[in-house]
Amino acid sequence: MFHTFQTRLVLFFGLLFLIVGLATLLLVRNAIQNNIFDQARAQLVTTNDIFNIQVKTTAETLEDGSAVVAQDFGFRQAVATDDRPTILSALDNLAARISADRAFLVSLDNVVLADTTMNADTVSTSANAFAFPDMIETADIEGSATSVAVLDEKIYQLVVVPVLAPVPIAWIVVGVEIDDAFAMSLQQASTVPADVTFAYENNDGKWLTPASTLSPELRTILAGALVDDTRFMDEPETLPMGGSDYVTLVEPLSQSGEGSDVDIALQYSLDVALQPYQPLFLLLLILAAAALTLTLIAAVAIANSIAKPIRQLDTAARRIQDGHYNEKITISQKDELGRLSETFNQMMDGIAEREERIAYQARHDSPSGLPNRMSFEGHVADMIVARQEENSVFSVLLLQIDRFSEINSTLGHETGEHLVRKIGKSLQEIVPGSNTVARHSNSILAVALDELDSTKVKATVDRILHFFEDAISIGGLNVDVTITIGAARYPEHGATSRVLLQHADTAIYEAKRASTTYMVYDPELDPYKPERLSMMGELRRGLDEGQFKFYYQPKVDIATGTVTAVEALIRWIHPERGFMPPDLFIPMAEQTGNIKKLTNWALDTVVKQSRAWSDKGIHVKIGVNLSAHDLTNRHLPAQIGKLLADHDVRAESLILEITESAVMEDPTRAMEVLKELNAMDLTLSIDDYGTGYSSMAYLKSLPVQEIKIDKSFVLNLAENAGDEILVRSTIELGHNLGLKVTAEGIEDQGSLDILKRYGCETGQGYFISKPIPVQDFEEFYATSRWSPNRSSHEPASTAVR
Amino acid sequence: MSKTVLGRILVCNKACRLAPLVAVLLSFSDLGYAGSIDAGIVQGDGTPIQSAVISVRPKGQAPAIAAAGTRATMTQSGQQFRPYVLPIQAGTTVEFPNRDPFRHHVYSFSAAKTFELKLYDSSEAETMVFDNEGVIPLGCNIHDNMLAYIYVVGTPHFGQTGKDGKAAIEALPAGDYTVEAWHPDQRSSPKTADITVTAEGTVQVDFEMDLKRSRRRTPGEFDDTEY
Repeated sequence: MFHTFQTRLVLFFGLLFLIVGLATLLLVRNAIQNNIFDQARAQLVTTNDIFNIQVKTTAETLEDGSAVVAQDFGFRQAVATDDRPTILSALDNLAARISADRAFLVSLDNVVLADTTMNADTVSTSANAFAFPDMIETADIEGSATSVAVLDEKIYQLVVVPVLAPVPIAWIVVGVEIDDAFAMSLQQASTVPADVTFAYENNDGKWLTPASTLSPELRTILAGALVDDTRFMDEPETLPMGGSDYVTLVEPLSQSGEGSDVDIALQYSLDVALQPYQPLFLLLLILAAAALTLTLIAAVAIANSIAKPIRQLDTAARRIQDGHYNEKITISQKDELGRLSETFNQMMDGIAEREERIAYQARHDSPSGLPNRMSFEGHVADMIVARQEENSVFSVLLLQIDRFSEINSTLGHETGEHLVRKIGKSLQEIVPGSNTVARHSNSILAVALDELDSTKVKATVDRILHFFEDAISIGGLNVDVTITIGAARYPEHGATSRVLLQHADTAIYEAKRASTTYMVYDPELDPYKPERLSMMGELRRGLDEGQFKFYYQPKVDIATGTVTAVEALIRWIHPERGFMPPDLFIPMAEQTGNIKKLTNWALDTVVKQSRAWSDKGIHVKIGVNLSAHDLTNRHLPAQIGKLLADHDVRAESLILEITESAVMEDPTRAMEVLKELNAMDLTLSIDDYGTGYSSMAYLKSLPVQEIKIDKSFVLNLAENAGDEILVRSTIELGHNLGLKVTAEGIEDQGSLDILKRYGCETGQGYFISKPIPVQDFEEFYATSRWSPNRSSHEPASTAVR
Repeated sequence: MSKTVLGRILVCNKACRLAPLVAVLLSFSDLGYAGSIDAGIVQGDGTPIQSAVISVRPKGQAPAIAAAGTRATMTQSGQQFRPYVLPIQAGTTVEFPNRDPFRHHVYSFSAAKTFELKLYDSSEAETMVFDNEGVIPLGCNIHDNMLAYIYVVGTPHFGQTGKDGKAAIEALPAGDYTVEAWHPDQRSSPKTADITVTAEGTVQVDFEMDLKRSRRRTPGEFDDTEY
């Protein structure tokens, strides 16, 4: 229950107020009580003074009355003659006259001669000693004495006066009893209704209270408290009696005779004293209660004004967490919280806007503004769900812009993107509908064709292809763009959008292989078909198990007729299938990513071989083929550098053979890698020259040292004049560009002669040697007619001549 | 406060020649065989006590009655008795002449003599014979302030101290005596001292006495509030 700010605040203020309030009340009550206490003390002192005055007045009255009797000649005569009955009657008369309760005549030797409690018979034999001889002594010196004393368990105010004749001949003692009535009269005389009690301690040490304004019960309590002699003396103390506190002050009255100390106890009930303040206390309590209520209401209000907006903000924050931004916080307060909520709303707007943008960006290709692949895959997935229910079909087309990277690098990326936008727009016109056209990858656009009929699909494809027949105008430039389209149909070519797109992609690949512009996915051609994939597994295993080997085909310096190099050609002898042609597994390895492993093996093997041959005195350069994938591998130069260094092989010993088409797959990336390799002094050679695009300008820009004329031009060189012209011009072109030229596919002496005549540097072919294993080559190197050992006395060129 | 009463008795032989005063006293003595007593009486602080009665009584003898016709006077004048203390030998007749222009009512309730002399004036001089030894306080029923004492002794040898607190008792036959000092305001019973008087010797007797406040008042001084 203390976990909310509101509760804590309310509790804090409530408690704070209670503490302050209670403290105030206590202080006020204390101050009043102290005040009352002081007042009570003052009143009690006053009452005590009043009592003392009353005692004195009484004494004077008694003295006066007694003196009259004492000076009466007849009385003196009666005393002188010890006329007891007369004395007694005179005392009775005296007591009655001055309202005394008791009167004695005491002889000079302290014997009670008469006492008003006696009668005429008993008086004549009275011989008791007077209980307070010191009073008489005082009276003898002072002329009179007065005291409060206990007689027969009653408290009296006693006055002693002498009977003078003219010297003292006896003492008259008169007493006024201090009883309840006396206490009452004293109470009435005091300014406050103080309770008055006269108490004495009897011989047993017990306190008795013969005169009091208190009830008998309270007298008992007081008597009990009086046992402590020092209590209530000098300083008043409170004494709880009968449920009320009494401020109590005790004054000793006398110590006359027989140890009966008489005290006067003056008491003032605090309840009575506080009576006038009760309305004040009540008022204070009401005020406190009202203030507490107000405080709590205010605390709740303040807490609400803070906690409620905070709760709203909290709720809003949760909504934001859950991705809801549209519900605004409505806090109309003008304070910090109001501003905070405003900021919060703005933040929500900002987040919503950004999220929308991010979502848009996530689903769109930003340069072209077309939906991206993810978005398209989602769209296709939605279509699949819809078509599944309808049990109908649709097609996915992927359009690859041919040589898009070349366009980008020559015309600039902006133009490239502009082109994509324009194509996208046109496709959208051909295939209307939302999300039907998307950018699948950098150079590939995707189209979802919601057509049942395959002929209609073909018609649409034709319309698309028709669009590309004309040059596309971009910023004043007319760009010829060719595309390759791959198509896949749901559901026969795939059950998911990803598979469909993948298969459409494969169809593009197949279309390119077939040098056509449009192809529908054919599972038979798919390199990713399960059986092909299983071959890839075998390829990996084969590499590990040493099923792969290199055969080396010698290359000879045509001018000298000696072997100077070899081309390493991969051979896979499958334990079950036997010889596997590289044309079969290398493209597959390239497509499935296993080419990397294959390249690693190849480079490792040729570098080791170079080392081994070098150690044996066989000095030949080893040429090795790199795939298109290798050319996009930025780490390749470092990898080769490390291999060379590890085996202490010179870079000049390696020739890296690459095809034009490999370079063309990603010319920018390939160029970077080639430049780096070139910088390492590795010899780069263009393989299969003449079969690819063979752009002259491009060839010039490539950092290569050699071209290899494709064997298709060399095989029939000796018989075919056209080939001879081509070969000759190619050699000249190569030489003009500063490149060396190698011819492969030399099958006869005639071809070799022709090549020699045109200045072709290196030759390779069955006429010289087919690819042979390492050992065979070593023997070839040592003993064949092309061996450098023999060339000095039996030059190879003899055959040429 | 209780004061100690110190009795100091100095006995001087003939050989002991004392103060010149004693010599003077002796020179006045016409009885060559007689001795004398010089009595001195003071309060604790040395203040001489006036009006004290010094009586000297032969040891072991019965009270001696005064010869018939021995008289003394207690005058009432100026609303007061005069003298304050009147020592007499038992059997002395005391006259109570009234010199005031108004009446007095003289009385005493003393054990030694209870009497009443009512309402007489100056024309008549009442007399009274006091036979018994003792203190007889005198009062006047009309005037409360009036107080005097007649001190009756059973010996002819007595005297009264003057302002110097001294009294001389002369013409004492040699023998053993009891000397008594009395004053109406004394706190205790009379002081006594046993001495021996030799012929032509003077015995010095010193008493120390503690006095109460005197009850004697001057006229009009009487005031109820005093009591």
